[in-house]
Amino acid sequence: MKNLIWILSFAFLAFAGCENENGANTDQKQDVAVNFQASFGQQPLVMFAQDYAYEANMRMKFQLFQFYVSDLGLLKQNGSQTDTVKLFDIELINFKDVQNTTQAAAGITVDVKDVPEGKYKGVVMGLGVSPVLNATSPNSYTPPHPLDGNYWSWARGYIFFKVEGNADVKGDGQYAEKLTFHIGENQFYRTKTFLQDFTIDEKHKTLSFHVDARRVLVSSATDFVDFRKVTIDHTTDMTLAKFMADNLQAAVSMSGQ
Amino acid sequence: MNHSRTIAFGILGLLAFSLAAVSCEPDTPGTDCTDCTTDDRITATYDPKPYAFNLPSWFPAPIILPDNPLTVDGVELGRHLFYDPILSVDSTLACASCHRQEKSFANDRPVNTGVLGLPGKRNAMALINLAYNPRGFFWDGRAASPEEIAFVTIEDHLENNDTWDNVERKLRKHKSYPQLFRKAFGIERTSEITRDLASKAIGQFVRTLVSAQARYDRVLWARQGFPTDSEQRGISLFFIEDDQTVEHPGCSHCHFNPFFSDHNFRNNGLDSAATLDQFPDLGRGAISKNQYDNGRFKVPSLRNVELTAPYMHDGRFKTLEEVLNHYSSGGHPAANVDPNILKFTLTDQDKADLIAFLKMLTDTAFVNNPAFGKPL
Repeated sequence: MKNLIWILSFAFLAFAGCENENGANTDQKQDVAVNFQASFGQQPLVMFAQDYAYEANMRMKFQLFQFYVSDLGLLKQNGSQTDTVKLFDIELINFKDVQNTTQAAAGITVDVKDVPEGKYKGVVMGLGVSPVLNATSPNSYTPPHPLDGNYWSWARGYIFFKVEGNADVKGDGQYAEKLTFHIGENQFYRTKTFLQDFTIDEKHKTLSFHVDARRVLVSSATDFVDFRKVTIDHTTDMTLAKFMADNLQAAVSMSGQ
Repeated sequence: MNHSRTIAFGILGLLAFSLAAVSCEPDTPGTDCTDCTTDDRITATYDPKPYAFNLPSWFPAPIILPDNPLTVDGVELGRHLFYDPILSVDSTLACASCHRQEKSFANDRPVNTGVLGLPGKRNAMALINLAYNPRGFFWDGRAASPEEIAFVTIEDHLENNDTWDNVERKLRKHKSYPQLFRKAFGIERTSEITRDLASKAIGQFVRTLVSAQARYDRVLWARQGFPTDSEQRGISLFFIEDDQTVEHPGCSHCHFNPFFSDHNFRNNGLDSAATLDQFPDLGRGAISKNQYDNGRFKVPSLRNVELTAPYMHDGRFKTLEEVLNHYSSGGHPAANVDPNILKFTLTDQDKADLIAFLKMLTDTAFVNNPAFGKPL
C-alpha cells in the first residue's frame, strides 16, 4: 500500500511537471503585446512632420500608412507549420497617429490576452484580410472593429493596405502631388512565416515586428513606384498592386522579443 | 347698452387672455409643481424593460454604453427631455428646436442661434445613426458620446445657456419629470434627479434614432425594386474606382456602407491655409491641440443628405450641386488636406446622376417615425 501511494504520487508529480508536446505549459498564460514599428529605410516613419528622400531625387511625406494583419499565429515548437496558437483573426495596424519620433519608437501595439506559456519556433501572419473575412462587410461589425471600414462597398472587399501622402516630384519643396495607393483583392493577400525560436513566459511577453514603408514602394534602384508617372492607384493597375503586395510581404520582419 | 358693451368687452378680454395663456404654455409634459420641493419621495412604479431595436439585417448591433443600457422608459424620458425647452435658461430652446425630425434632426440654417440670440459657430449636425459612431461627436469631436452631447450643450452659452444646477432644480420641482425619472432609473427621491441621469436619458433617445430604410436600402439590401438608370450611374460614380476609362470622384473613401461615414475627422479642402495655424476654424485641432488636426472636421453621414442642407461645418454650401462643385475642383491647398480630395471632371449629367443616387439615401420612414417625434 505504501508503495502504491509513492507510485501514484510520483506519477502525479511527473504529469504535473510535464509540458505539452508544444513545449508549452497550457495552465499558465500570459498577456502578450504584439508590437509593430515602422521606418522609412533607416529613419523612423512619422506622418506629416518628416519628409523623406525618395528615388529619382523626389521627396515624399506620409499622411497614412496602414495594413491589416490576419490570423497571427505562433508555431508550436514540436508541431507542423500549420499547428499554431492563434493570437487574433484580424487587426488593423495603423500608423496615422504616429506624428513624432517618440510615437514612432513606441510603435503600434496590439494586446493579446491568455497566450499559453511555452517555447515556440516561429510566427505566421497574413498581410491583408484573409479570404474568409474579406467575404464579409462592415455591415457585420459594430464599430469600433478593425473591419468597420476600409471597404470597397461595391466590389471587392477590404482595402488591405494604404499608403497616402504627398510627393515633391519637381524638387520645388511644394509636395503638390497627392499620393493614394490602396491595395486589396484576394489575389493580393499574402502570408508570411518567421522561423525564430522564442519563449512566452512571465519575462517574455512581447513580440516585435518591423515594417519598412520604403520597401513597400521600392524593391530596387530601378524598380519603384514612380510618382512622376503614377500618384493614385486603387488596385486598378494589377501589376502595380502585385508589386506593392509583394513588397509589403518583403517589408515586414520579426524583430524578436 | 354701454353696460352690455362693457360686459361683452370683458368677456372678449377674458377669452383673449385665456387663449394667450394657452399659447404661452411651454410644450412640456407638465410644469412646475407649486407645492413640491427638490427632495420629495417619488411613487411611480419602476419596472424597467429593455429597449429593443428594430434593426434590418444589413445593420449591425448598435453601440450601447455598459453604464447606460437602453430601457423603454429611459428612451421615453429622453424623448420628453429632447423636445422640452425646460433645458434652456429661459425655457425657449429645446434640443428639437435645432434638431428637427423632418430635417433628419438637423435644420435649414447655416449655423444655429442660441437662447441669447447669438449665432453659433457651426451647422447643426443631423442626429442620425449616432449609436454607431465609435469616436468623437460634433464637428470637432468634443463629445465622446451622445450622452455627453446633451451634457455639454445645456451650458453652452451659444446654445441653451443654462446651468445644470438650475436644470436639476427645474426637473426636481416639475410635476411630471420625477415620475418619468423614477420609471427610467428607479430613483426614489426627487433629489436623485441629476444632470448625469438627464444626459443618459437623452443619450438613450438619441441612440434610438437609427435610419436604415432608405430607398437605397430597400433596393440594395431588401431587393425591392431597381435603381433608375440615373441612380445606377450615380451609384457607379460614387462607389466604383477600378474603371480606368472613367474618372471617379472616390466619394466612398470616406462615405461607405452602411453608415456613409467613416466616423473620422478629415480636412476636405474647404479653406486654403498657408500654415496649419491659419484655418478660419481649427475644428478638430482646437480640441485635440494637435496641429495636424487643424482644419479637420467630422465626416458626416450622407444618409438623408437631401434633407440636411446647408452643408459643411459652417453651412457654406446651400445645395448638393455646390458640394459636388467643391469636390470636383480638388479643394483648396493646405498641408493636411486629405490626399483623397482630388480634382476630377464632373459633367452636368454626372452631377444629376450623383444627386439622384444621394436622394436614394432619403429615409422617409425615419423622418415620419412617430416614435422619434414630439411626445403627445
